[in-house]
Order: sequence, then structure tokens, then C-alpha cells
Amino acid sequence: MTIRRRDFLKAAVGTPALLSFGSFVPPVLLRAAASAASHSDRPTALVVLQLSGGNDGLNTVVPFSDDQYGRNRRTLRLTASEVLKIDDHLGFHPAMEGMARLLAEGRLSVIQGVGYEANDRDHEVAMRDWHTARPGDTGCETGWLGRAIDSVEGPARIGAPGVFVGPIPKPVGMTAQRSVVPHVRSLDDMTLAGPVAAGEAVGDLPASDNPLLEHVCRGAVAARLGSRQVQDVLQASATGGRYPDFPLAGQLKLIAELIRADLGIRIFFAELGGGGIGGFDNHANQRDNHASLLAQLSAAVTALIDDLVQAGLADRVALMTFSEFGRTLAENGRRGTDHGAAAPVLLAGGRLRGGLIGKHPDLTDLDADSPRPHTDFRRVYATLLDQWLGFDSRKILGRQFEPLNVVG
Amino acid sequence: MKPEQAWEPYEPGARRPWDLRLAAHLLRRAGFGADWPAIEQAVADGPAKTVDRLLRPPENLAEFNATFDRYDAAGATGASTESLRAWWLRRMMETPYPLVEKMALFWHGHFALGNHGGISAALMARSVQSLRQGALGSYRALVAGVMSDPALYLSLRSERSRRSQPAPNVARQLLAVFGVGPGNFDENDLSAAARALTGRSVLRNELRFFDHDHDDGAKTLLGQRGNWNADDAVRIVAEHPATAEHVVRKLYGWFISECGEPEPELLEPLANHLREHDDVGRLVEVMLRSNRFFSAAAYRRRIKGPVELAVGLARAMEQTVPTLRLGQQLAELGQDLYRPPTSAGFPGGRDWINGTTLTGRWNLAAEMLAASGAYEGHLNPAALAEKHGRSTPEEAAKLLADVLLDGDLPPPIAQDWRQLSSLPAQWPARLRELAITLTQEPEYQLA
Repeated sequence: MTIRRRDFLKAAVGTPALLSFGSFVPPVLLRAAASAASHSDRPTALVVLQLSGGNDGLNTVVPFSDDQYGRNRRTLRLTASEVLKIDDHLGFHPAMEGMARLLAEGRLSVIQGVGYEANDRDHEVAMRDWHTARPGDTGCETGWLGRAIDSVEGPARIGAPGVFVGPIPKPVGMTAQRSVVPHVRSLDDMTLAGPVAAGEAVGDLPASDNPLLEHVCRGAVAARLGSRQVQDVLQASATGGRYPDFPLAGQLKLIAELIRADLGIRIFFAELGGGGIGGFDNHANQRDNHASLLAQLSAAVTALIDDLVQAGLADRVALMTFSEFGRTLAENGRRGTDHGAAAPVLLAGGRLRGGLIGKHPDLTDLDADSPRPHTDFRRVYATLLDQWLGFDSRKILGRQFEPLNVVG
Repeated sequence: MKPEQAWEPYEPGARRPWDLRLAAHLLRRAGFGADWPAIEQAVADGPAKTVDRLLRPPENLAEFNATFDRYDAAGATGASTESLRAWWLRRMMETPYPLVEKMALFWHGHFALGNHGGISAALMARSVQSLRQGALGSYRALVAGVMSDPALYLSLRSERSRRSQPAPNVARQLLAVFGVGPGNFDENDLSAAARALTGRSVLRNELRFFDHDHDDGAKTLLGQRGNWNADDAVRIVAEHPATAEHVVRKLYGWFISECGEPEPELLEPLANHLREHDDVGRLVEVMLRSNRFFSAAAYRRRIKGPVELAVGLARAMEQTVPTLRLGQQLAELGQDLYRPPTSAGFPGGRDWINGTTLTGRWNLAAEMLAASGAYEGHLNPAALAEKHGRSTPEEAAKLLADVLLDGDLPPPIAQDWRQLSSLPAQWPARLRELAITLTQEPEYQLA
């Protein structure tokens, strides 16, 4: 039997007739065609947000009541009256009002004391370690997210399992061995131009003796349907969330639009801080620069989560921040801090346990003037891979890491 | 088809006649697709004569290469490979000898040097240049050349290797990728090869040998025992019988089919050929002349890589396009020339295509064929039709279908274009739209 492709596409763009095509059509498309009303059966998505330069965890989640903290930070110290209190000992940096609210709403978790033993505090080496999740393995060429993308099999591969956004080169973390990991700059990259956009396709569905032709046709259905869904999201954008006017917020808005378009993308990557001026690497005059970055981080993430809550999608999305290392406890004499070790990882989104996870590192037990990590970062990765995305962390990370109790 | 029969030369006959489809198939696989004059000539000449011509370096090759080598040298400054990438694409579009560029692209994916940003453009230019020069020669010589290329050691982050600290990455690459392939060596072979390679270090972009760092002890590599050095290890691996099968399997995917894994019996005659003659050019000749190559098991049984897609479109339209931006767009579709993502090379087959990359491929073809924009309207279907004397809409549509889709003009489009005869003034302007529509046929993604 041959089916007119024209009829097929008519069906493919949104009627239950699509169901009759059975195994030819990827489930993500079937779901989209069957019902746009239900969000609960959507696959979960993970947004990974890199804070470049080594974020000062001690001035992000501040141990304001700790004498050690106050004594060592003569100019950068944030006091009990300045911080946004989480409890009697810890508080957020005052620029993080949005995130403080998310925490109160149960939509933010702070995983404390994250890092790894062998972090040598060199930007490039440490960042590479966080990306490969194989510290010290110079032979490792792929990233943990790239390997996760490579591990996706079957029809789900047709929707591009992972993408990165923003003006950055392809992150090592997203380097896969066999998958193409798209760079999405704007929704135009997901929107068909030219005659194909009008759905004016002709010809017959192929007789299925050529599996490659069948594969391309599946891709074609995904491309056309995806493009249409993106258009629908754009048209509805008046009802979308309110985002502040700086680059990270724009990138998270794009991610929210891609999530709303239900394209089957499971993993997103974005970055804040860039290289050089304006990053988190504040060896001098840290106070204002760091405050500005944390304000952007907090406002952008809060806008994303609020947008997703409004769209009924917050329970399907988790955002994780990371940085290559934390910073030293003591100021360095130039009103800045130097490369350190442990720092908190922030998780935002729905269906999370929420609140503080693990204890704050002990400031009387330092390693070269920095708080020691007590939670290996790969435990965070493993937990998100296994419990949030439903992937196999052992396959992706090479061994089993003890999960954390963060997913609700 | 029995294995012996599969690799015997194809003779056109009633069951499998020589036609435009097979001619276009041959020109696609042995190059990047062809323009109308080349297809027409191939149809007239038959397969044997066409393969002869594809294999024979044209007279003006030296001059052509010298020109482009100068462009490469001028573009190879600093760490960025953007300029080199653009020149290579241009070379592929204009070369009078597409087979050698197609093979250089194959070896670039196979040896996969350059997979991270720290390697200088000059080193990468030299590296690809030697792949081009040796593309149709001895495989063992290619392996030996790559193994003495500093870019290999930099790509694998193995700048230093010492007796006390061998660099296993290069040894693994030699055995698993260039050599016998996974499953045909064990940890002892890996360690033996790594020991044989000790003493090789890269200093200021030069590969050097330091005798005092070399482990001169006895090693057993793939069953052979001796005080092997690096050259010995390369020779032992390259000459091992399993290496020929491993390479031939990859070449089968490149020239014949990406559908499923071929049976070892089917590959055995090819592997024997490589073992006996170590001559890639002659092996490729056997494949290109074969029954298997012209059978239904090969026709449209590959997915075009991004480079094949874009270069093929330009060649079909008999024009070059600006390639600086194109190089970046192809990188984002997964094929960054001079910078393969990992030492496993570029993706391939089905992995090229998902909903997002197909959107990107369609949009790229539409952008290349647009009347204005980044590609400046260089590709001009109306001008092509005029050049080849197609004066009616029906004839012009047929021409585009012939060069883009092996003549498969979808019937509803053919019908539409027959009806256009009544609108003589407008139809040439619509040829761009028609060409774009044809590139959006699923078959266009297949090689």
C-alpha cells in the first residue's frame, strides 16, 4: 500500500488519524498529535547551566553566622541583615531574591559542598573534568551529556535528544561520539523555510524496502511537525512568561519555548559568565561584579521557572547550575577571592525535594584555604540521569555513584 | 549474489540496464555528484569507460592542486581552521578529480586528526594534504604517515611518552581505529604497542624521538615477539590480516551501503585484495566496477553527509558558492572539516538525520538556492536550464530532476509544470522554488 504523502502530512499535523500509522511515527509525534492538553506524560527535560570562572559558593549561599566566614572576608562579608535568610545559619546573596522565593515555594534545592577530590583548581582542567565527568582521564573525548545523548536509542533519537543555546562553542560536555548535537540560536533554527513549510509535499511514502529512506521520512515528519509546533508556540508567545532583558534570560526563554513546543529534546545546555571580563573569576573587586552575575542568574532562572509553572510544565523540567570550582574562604587583599574547591549546586524546577541538601562544608577544616567538597559532583549527575531523565548513569558515567535524595 | 560474483565487474544487461540512475549513482559515490554534461557523457560512455575516467588523474590536476595548496598555505595561520575549511569545500566543488577529494574526506573521518581546538591550522593543513596525496595509494603508508604526524599526538593529548609513562591513547587508536579493530586485540597488545611507541614526543609542533625515553625491552604484539620500536609496531599492526578486513568494512560503508553489517564472506575478497596488493586505488576500482556497487543493495543505500549534500548541490548547479559561512553551517550539521568531534571521526548513516538536522539541511539547501542572501544567488536554476537549451517548463523541470534526483520528478510536480506552458513569461522565476522543492524530497538526502 502506498499512502499519498500529501495526505500523510495532512494527518501528521494534528489529527488522531496519525495513530493509524503505527510504528512509522515516533511516539513524541503521536503524543503531540493525540492531545496537546495533557502535559503529565511528557518526557522530563534537564537544563544544565554553566557558571564560568569558578563561582564563589560562600557568597552565593552565605554561612553568615559562622565566625570563620566573617573573620576571613573583611570587605566581601555579607551580614545577617543583608542576606536573604534560609535558616539561622545560611542565607542567599541579597541579589538572589527570585531564587529565595523559589526555595520558599519548594522549587529550589541547594546541594551543598559539591566538588571532587582531585580538582587542581586550573580553570581549563577543572572545567574539562566537570564536562567529561572523568577527572584526570585525558583520553576521554566525550562529555557526560554527549554520552547521555548517544545512549538514546530507537524512535526517540529522531527528535534530537540534546541541544545547546547561546553564543558559545560546542561544550565538551555536549560532545557525543555518534550524535549530532545542534546549536540552537533562535527558533528560526527549528523552523522550516521555503516551500516545505507550507506542507506542499508530493510523492508517495516509500515502500519500506529501504530503511534509510524510511529513516529520512521519519525525520521529515519530525521536522515538519516540530516546525509547526514551534510556530504555535511563537503565536502564543503573548501569553508566555516575562523575562528580563539580558542574554541569559533570552537563552532560557528560548529553552522554555523549545520545551513548550514539545520537540522531544531532553537535555539543554546554557552558559553564564563567558571568558574574561564579567565572569565569575573575581580575583579582584569581586563585590559588584559577583552581585550583578548572581542577580542575572537568579532573575533569569526565576523567570524560566515561573514561565514553566504558568504553562503547567514546571514538574517536567529541572535546571542544574555548576561551576568548575568554588573559591577560597579568605579574601586575597585585592577585594577578591582565589580558586577554591567545594561550592553548592543549585537545582530548580518541579518535583524536587527542595531546600538544603547536605550540610554546609566545615569552615574549620579547609584544604588550601578552601572548603572541602563532601559530595562528588558525579553523584549529582548520576541522580539526575537515573531518577530525573530515566537514563542509565552507570553506562554514561562508567560506574555507579551513590544517589542523592533530591528528586521528589 | 555470491561473494565472488558480487565483486565481478558489472555488465549492463536487460535485468540491470545502464541508465541515468546508475550513472548518477556512480558519479555521486566516486565524487560529490555531477552536473548534467558529466551525467550525459557517463550515460553515453557506459560504466567501464566512466570508471576509467573517474580513476585517472586529469591532466590539469597538478596545476589545480598547486593553486589550492597556495590558498591553503595562505589560510593556515593561527589555530582557527575556518579558512582552511572554506578552501577545502571550494576545492571539492571545483576539482577536476573528485575521487581523490572524496577519499581524502574518507581518510579524514577515518584517522580523525584535529578533534580539539589546540592544534594549529598549519599542522592540520599538512595533515589533510598528506591524506590527499596518499588517498589512493598504500594503506600501510597512510598509517605510517599518520603515525608520524604530530597532529595525531596532539589530537590524542599524548604529547609525551616515556618508558615510565607510556601514552596508551595513541596505541589504542592504532589498534582499534587504524588497525585490527575492537575485539581483535587485548590489554597486553595495547600495553605492548604503547611501550613500542615510547620515546615519541611532540616539541614545538614537531614529532621527536628521545632514545632515553624509549622502552627497548621485548614485547609481544599481536602474537609477534621482539624488541619492537614504533615503526615495528606500526608495521605489525598495519600488516595484520584483521586490519584489512577492518578497513574494507569501513570502505564498504563509504562506497556501497550503510544498511546493516555486511557478511564477512562478502568482504573477504576485498580484504584479500588489500592484503595482497595494499593498493587503495585498485581496491576502490574493484568496488566501483562491481555488480554489488550497481545493485539495488547499494543504490540510495547511504545518507549524504552534510559536506556531500552541499558540495553536491553546488556541482549539480555548475557553480561554486561562498564557502566561509557554509563551512560553519556544515559544522553545525555535524561535519566540521579539520575538526572531527572525537577520534572516532564524524557521525555517519542514520545519525546524520534527526528532525532538527533535517530542518537545518532543508533550510541550508533553500538558502543556497535563494535568489539573494548569504549565497548571493550564485546557484541559478533558470540560467542552468537556459545553458542546456531547455526552453519549455517541462524540459527545465526534467533537467532539475535529472541532476538532483536521478530523474525522479514526482508526478504531481511534473503535471504542474506541464500546465505552466500557458504562462511563458513567469515560469523561469519559479525554477528556484522547484529546485528547493526537489531538495526537500527524502530521496535527496540519500547518496
